[in-house]
Amino acid sequence: MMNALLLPKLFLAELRRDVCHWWSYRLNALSSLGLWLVAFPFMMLTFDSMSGGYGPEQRLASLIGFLVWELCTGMLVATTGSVTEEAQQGTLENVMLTPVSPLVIFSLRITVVFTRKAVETTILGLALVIILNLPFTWNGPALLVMGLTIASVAGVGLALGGLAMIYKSIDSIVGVITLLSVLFTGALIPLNNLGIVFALLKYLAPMTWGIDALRATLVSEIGWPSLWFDGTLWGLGIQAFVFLSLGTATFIRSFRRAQMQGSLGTY
Amino acid sequence: MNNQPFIQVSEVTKRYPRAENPAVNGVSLSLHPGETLALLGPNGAGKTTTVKMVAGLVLPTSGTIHVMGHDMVLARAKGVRHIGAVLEGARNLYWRLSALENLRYFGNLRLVPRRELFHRIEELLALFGLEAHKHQEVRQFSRGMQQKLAIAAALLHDPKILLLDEPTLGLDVQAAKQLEATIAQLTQEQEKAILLTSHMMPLAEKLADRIFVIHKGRKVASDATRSLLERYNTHQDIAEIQVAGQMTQVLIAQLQQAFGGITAIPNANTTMLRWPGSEQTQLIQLLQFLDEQDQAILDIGRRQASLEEVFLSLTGMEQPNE
Ligand SMILES: Nc1ncnc2c1ncn2[C@@H]1O[C@H](COP(=O)(O)OP(=O)(O)OP(=O)(O)O)[C@@H](O)[C@H]1O
Ligand SMILES: [Mg+2]
Repeated sequence: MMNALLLPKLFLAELRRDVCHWWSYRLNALSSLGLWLVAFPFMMLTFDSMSGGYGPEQRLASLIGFLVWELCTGMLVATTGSVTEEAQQGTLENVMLTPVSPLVIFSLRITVVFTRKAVETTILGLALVIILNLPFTWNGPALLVMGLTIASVAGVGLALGGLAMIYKSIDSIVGVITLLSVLFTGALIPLNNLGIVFALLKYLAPMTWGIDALRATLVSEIGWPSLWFDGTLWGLGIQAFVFLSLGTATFIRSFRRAQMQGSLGTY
Repeated sequence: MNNQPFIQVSEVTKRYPRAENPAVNGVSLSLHPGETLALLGPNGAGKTTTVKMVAGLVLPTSGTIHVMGHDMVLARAKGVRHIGAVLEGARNLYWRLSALENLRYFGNLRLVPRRELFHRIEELLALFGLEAHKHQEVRQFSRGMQQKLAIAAALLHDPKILLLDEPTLGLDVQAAKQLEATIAQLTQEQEKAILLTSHMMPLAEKLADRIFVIHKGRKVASDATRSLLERYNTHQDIAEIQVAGQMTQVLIAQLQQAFGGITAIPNANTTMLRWPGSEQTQLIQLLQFLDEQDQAILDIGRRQASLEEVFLSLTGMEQPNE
């Protein structure tokens, strides 16, 4: 029913709105960027003095994890936060007054936030690579791993965004979970030594495996063949599929539920 | 086909989960091309719920809603493209975006073709006198300007149906008057159907062809504006008689038995008798009765019921003798 040619137009409209909004809050955004530029090197120094020797490879490993974490949780916080905020303020209902399906609008919004966050994270990443003087190259396998990881997290974003339409408190829960996830995704300190716990986290949490694989491709420079044969690509692909499907189903059900209890708007 | 109503609400009931009473209870209404219908009711009557169900934002528990012939539960996307709405409250727009960016965003979202959108925005900004402010962030707008811009945003895709939930709520007298004039202009447009809610009788009287009074989720009255007002204005004359001293309960009971519909409001050292709908001859009888009972009459007045009172008596909120 909906013309696929409309998608780029709607994407641009959402992007424009998002950027205008970002511009209005640019000081907040810039100060958090500045914060990490100071805080991250400081963390590396602390690790160094604690473990007695946190070399460039380990720093790079931490930086990769941190950037993925920052990108993904930034998206989750922004999307669930905006649903809660817009439901309270009243714009959410207005946004739903369109023939475009809510799922499409929300998916576009997630894509837009990812796009903007990707730019922010890239700038932050490049600055940190320079400040910390790290050896850093980018490669094809890493790109694919990154893409699959983002797809999984997008699925989580759909689910959380849907739930935020029903439960107003999801917003604050997401805040706590994203902070905790810096630990259980192994974002800063790799968890590979945790054995079975790591295996579980890897399969069940949406970022852990991706971060691990990204480190393998970027730090240890593992290429296509081993990623393929050790099942990483398959695993990440299945994970992305499962998270996206669950996310879509949750979103659709939640929207219906929100229509039932009238929670798209303030009450 | 030509006689098909733009909005057809049939036997709709809405019970929110965990709510004790239904918010809307067996309501049926229809809205035809070119018609303006005012949904009137006190707080919590179910006006907003009804409007949101028409817009497909809230699902009815039972009953059906058709917009331009499309079922709003089964084919929401088809119906919603004909709807423009200004919902309750101040935040129909993004406060952090300029007026122009808001119109652009909502225009695109409602699938207005690019070329058309440009002209449409200019046209609407001119219509609402907001051209000079188009680059200003909406949060810097006055409440009246925000409300005008919200209506402009609702009209971007030139919808056949306009839903306005409490459009003048929170505006000062002057801004409300201005907005009222703007809406009046819209009601002149042929073929557009407008559903507006309010708890202000005068607004409805000025703008609406028909009035639908809702109370506790149920229809109380529904009629052409003029006949509704006429009916209640003639029957609802109120006589007010001020009597010296506090009246005894016994006497009040006697009064009420002899003259149905009378209420006694005790004041510090007087009693006010109010008697809506009384005839001249009955009033004379009442005065005689009071005289016989040695009650000193301080003041007698007679006035027409205000619209407010008509409304209150319709919704049964001020009928202690019922
Ligand atoms: N989302 C909701 N969940 C539960 N109950 C609700 C919800 N929205 C409204 N209600 C209840 O439904 C009833 C009707 O509310 P509604 O907002 O439709 O009334 P209204 O006529 O618009 O009132 P007002 O003049 O205050 O805007 C009220 O009792 C209200 O408390
Ligand atoms: Mg209301």
